[in-house]
Amino acid sequence: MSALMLKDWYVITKQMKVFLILILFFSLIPNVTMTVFAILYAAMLPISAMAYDERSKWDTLVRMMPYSPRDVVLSKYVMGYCGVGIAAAFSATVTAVKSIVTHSNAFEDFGITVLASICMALVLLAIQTPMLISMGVEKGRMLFMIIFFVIFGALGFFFYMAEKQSLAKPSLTNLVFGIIFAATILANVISIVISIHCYQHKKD
Amino acid sequence: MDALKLHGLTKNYADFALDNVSFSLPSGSILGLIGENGAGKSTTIRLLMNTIPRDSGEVTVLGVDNRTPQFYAVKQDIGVVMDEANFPEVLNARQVNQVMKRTFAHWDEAQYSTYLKKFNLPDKKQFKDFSRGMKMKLAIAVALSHHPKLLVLDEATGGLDPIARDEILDIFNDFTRSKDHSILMSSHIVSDLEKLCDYIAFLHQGKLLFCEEKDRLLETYGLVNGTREELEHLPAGAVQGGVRISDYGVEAMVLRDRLPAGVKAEHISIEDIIVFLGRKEHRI
Repeated sequence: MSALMLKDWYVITKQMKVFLILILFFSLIPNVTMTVFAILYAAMLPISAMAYDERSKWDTLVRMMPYSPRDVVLSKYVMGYCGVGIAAAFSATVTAVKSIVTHSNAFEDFGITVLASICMALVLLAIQTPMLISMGVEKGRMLFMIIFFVIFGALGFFFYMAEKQSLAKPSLTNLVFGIIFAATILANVISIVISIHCYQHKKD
Repeated sequence: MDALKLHGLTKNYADFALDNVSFSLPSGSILGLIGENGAGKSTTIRLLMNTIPRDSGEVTVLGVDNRTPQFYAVKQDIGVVMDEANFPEVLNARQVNQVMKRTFAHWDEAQYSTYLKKFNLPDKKQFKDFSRGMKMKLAIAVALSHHPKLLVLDEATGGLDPIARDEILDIFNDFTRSKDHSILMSSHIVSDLEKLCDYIAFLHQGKLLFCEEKDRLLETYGLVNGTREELEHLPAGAVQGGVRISDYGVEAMVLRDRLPAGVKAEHISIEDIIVFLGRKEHRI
């Protein structure tokens, strides 16, 4: 798998410079929306990497080489995890520095936002990757975007209605957060199993 | 031992079917897979590397069923060159070395460098700036630099000029001097295969018309020139495939052992055998 990750590293540092700079830029802005955006954006790194693989037909060559389906699939998840981790780490560092400099408690509030964003990003990764592998990047990306907008549109509508009805906002207690975190991990494990199955049974 | 063994390999698509293909490649030899565009050469290669699911049939590569998990280990001993090089375009030859070093257990950096020098390939230039010939040479260098036992070449010499092609055919020839080294090579440049191969397999519209030793093919078939009437008087089954009609008469491919005494057959090339067998029109 290290060979595939090294190849992806070469590709993303050369071909996706703008993408990486944008993630870093958004994560360096000490603002909650920008942080969420940077982390979610980083989860989409594998989409671009897989698009480049398809364009150069590396995805065809890779099937001829001694890489197991598990290695090929996991390398894409690991890339997503690294992207999300780096974006989160940058955001956290910038906010921590801001907290120290301004003597505010920005970092405490920020922690929950970052952790929630990481969970959201990893769920996105878990949804998108099997689609991209089974349908190819073009169709998989389209379907993913539809699902993305439906889910986040529904969430937005739910929170809007909750506010309108003066309902209490769901708070992220440790228990709730623990459940969300466990569900995120479970979603990723299931997603990896599905992706490996899709990769092995892809028709062309 | 056979380096490759395909038995009853079948794959159906909506508009094409690879139908019950069986052949084997003895170790230490070179088999040329010939066929027109769309005959099923690439499909056969994909099936033997198990990159697409088959409908039926068995494939054994270097003694291992290619559907078993052990086949991933066997791939360490296979060098593959496809009709395009398929490396990510931002990589250079030096980075390809780093990736392949982590891919193949027997990757030989010195060997790879030697091939880069031999093929005049720059090590820092990005792959996207390579000419098609350079790309194919890099793919061939990669395929040869991990001490493979089997080379699978799918139109690998297609983008090369005649001089480079000749140089590379010599390398392939040297490769099979070792008894456990074998090559499966698909191409529609029949002259390359005629020069290099011990066995020829001819795929036509998804069906394997023959898989024979090259020398045996040349001994079996011959060319006869004459008028249409003369050819019509040949014994039944002597004429194989279509005929070639020109202002000077009719030319047909024949089975030498079916010819009556007194009728002489001229030498036929592998290319002519393929052309005659592939022709549907102009039959006697």
